[in-house]
Amino acid sequence: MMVRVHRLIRAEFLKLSAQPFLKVCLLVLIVITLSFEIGLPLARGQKETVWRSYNSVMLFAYGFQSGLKVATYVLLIFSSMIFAGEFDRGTIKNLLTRPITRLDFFVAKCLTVTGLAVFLFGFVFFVASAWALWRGDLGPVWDDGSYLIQRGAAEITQHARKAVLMSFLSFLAAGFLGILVSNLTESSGYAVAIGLVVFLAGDLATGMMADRAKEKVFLFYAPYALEKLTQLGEGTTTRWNPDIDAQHLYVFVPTAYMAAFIPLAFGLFRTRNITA
Amino acid sequence: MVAVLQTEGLTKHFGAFKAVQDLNLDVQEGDLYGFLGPNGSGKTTSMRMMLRLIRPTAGRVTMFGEDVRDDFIGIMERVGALVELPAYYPYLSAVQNLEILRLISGDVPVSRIAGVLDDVGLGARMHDRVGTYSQGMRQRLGIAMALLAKPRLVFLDEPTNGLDPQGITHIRGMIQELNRRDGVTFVISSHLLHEVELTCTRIGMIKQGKMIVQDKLDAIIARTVNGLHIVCDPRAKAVALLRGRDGIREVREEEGRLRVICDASKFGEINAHLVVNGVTVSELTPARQTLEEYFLSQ
Repeated sequence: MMVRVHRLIRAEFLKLSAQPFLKVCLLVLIVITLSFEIGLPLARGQKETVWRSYNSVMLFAYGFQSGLKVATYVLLIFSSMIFAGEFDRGTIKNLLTRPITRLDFFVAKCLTVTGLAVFLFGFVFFVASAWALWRGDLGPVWDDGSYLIQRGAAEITQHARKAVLMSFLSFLAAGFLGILVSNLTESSGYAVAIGLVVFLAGDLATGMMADRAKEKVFLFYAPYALEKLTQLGEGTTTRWNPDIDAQHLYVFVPTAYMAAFIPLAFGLFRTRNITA
Repeated sequence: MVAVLQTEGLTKHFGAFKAVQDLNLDVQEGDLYGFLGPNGSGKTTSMRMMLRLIRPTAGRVTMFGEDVRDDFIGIMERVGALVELPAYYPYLSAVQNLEILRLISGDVPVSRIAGVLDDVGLGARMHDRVGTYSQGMRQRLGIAMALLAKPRLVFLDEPTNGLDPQGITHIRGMIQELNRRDGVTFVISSHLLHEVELTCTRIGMIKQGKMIVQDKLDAIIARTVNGLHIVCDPRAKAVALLRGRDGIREVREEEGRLRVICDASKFGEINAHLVVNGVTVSELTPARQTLEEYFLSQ
C-alpha cells in the first residue's frame, strides 16, 4: 500500500506543481506578506530610531499573520477541489481504473493536502522571516517611553516559536475541512464555494463566542497565536492563556476536528458511485 | 479458450429505474467483443460496474478467472479502460497526463509514453497542452491512456467518438493489430452497429438493460439471413408459384427481382420448385437483414 500511496502522491504533486493557479497564489502570498510587513509599521506610526530598528519578530508577526490568513484560503480552495476536481473533469475514472484501491487514493489525497499545507506554511514563514530578518533587528523588545527592555531577544524568539507551532495544526485542519467539503459534491466550483462559506461562517461565529467556547473551535488557534505574537512583538503587556497552554488545546482541538473530518470524508468517498 | 471477463446476474437499479438487469456477459481470451446497444441501454453502467466504479445492486464480475472484489489490484494491473468521454488535465501536456497514469500504474517504463502516443497518432503534438487539442485528438489520448500499461483486457467505451473517417480506420486497425499480434482482448461498447461489425469478432447486444443476443459475429450474421433475392423469368409466374407455399412467409417484387422471406432451409426447395415449373432462375442470392434491422427486430 505504501508504494502505491507514494506513487499517487508523486502524481498529485506533478498535477499541483503544474497548476497555474498555485503560481498565482504564491505570488499573492508574497505580495500580501510583504505588504503587511512594510505597511503596518508605517500605518501604526511606529518609527525607527538611530539606536533601534524595527523588531524582527514584530515584523514577522505582521507578515506571517496576514500571509497565513490568505494561505488558509488558498489551502481551503485547493483542498476543496482535490476530490471534486477529479469528479468535475472525469479524471477520477482514469485513476480508479488503475491498480489502486479507494483507500490508497484517499490516503494519498490527504497526505497531499498535508504536504501542501506544510509547503504553504513554510513558504509564508520563509517570506515573512526573510524580510523580517533583513529589515528588522532580532533583538529585544523595547519600551520606547521608558527606554527599558520589555522582553529579551531569547524570550521573544521563544514566543515566536510557540506561536508558529500553535498555528500550524489549526491551519492544517482547514485543509481537512476542505477534504470533507470536496466529498460532498462533484463540482469543484460548488465545493470551493461551500468550503469558503463554511469557513467564513465558522470564523464569524467563533469571533462572537465566549472565550471558553472559542477554545473548542479549531479556527480559533492560528489567529489567536499570531495576534498574541503581534502584541508581544509590539511590546503590549499580555500573556498566553494558561488553560490553552496547560491542556495543549492548540494540539488536541484541531486534531480532534481532523479526526472527525477524515472518516466522514472517507465514508462519503468510499460509497460513491463514479458516474463522472 | 479462457474466459477473460464474465458477469453473472449483474444488476443495477437506480431507485425504481432498472438500468441493468441480470447481465451475463462472457468474453473469451482474444475476443474483439462488441458490446452493442442504443443510447441509454445500460452499456456504460455495465462497464462501470465491471470496473468497480459503480457498485452493482446484485451479481458478480470475474476477470481472468477471479472475482474483482477479491484481487482488484492484481486484476487492474492487466486491465485498461476508456469509459465514456476521455478525461484529462487540460493544463498538462499529453506526456504529463500519461506520466500521472504511468506513476500509478505500477511498473510501466517512461519510454512507453512516447510509444503509445505514437501508436495513436499523437506523437507530433505530445508536448502540447491537452486543452488545445481537438475532440478527435482527445479521443486518441483517451485510447492511449487505456493502452498505456500494455493491458491484456481493454474496455473501450465508444472509442471512435469524435474521430474523422481516417481516424476511425486508424484506431480500428490498431485495435485489430493489437488483438492479432499481442492477443489483447477488447470489449468495445458502441451504438454504431456498422463499426462493431467491421471491428469485432463476438457481439453482445443489450436493450433496456437486458442482454438480448450474445454470440460470435459470424453466427449472428448467419441469423440475419432471412430469405432470398431471386432474379427470374417470368416473375409473375414465380410469384404465383411461391405465394402461399409452406414455409414462405412473404413474396414481393422489388427493384426487378423477387424478395422471398423464408428460412434458409427452404432455399434449395424453392429453386427446384421454380425450375421444375418452367421458371428460368438466373440469380439466387441469400437476403440478409442489416445488423441494425436484426437488432431492432429483437
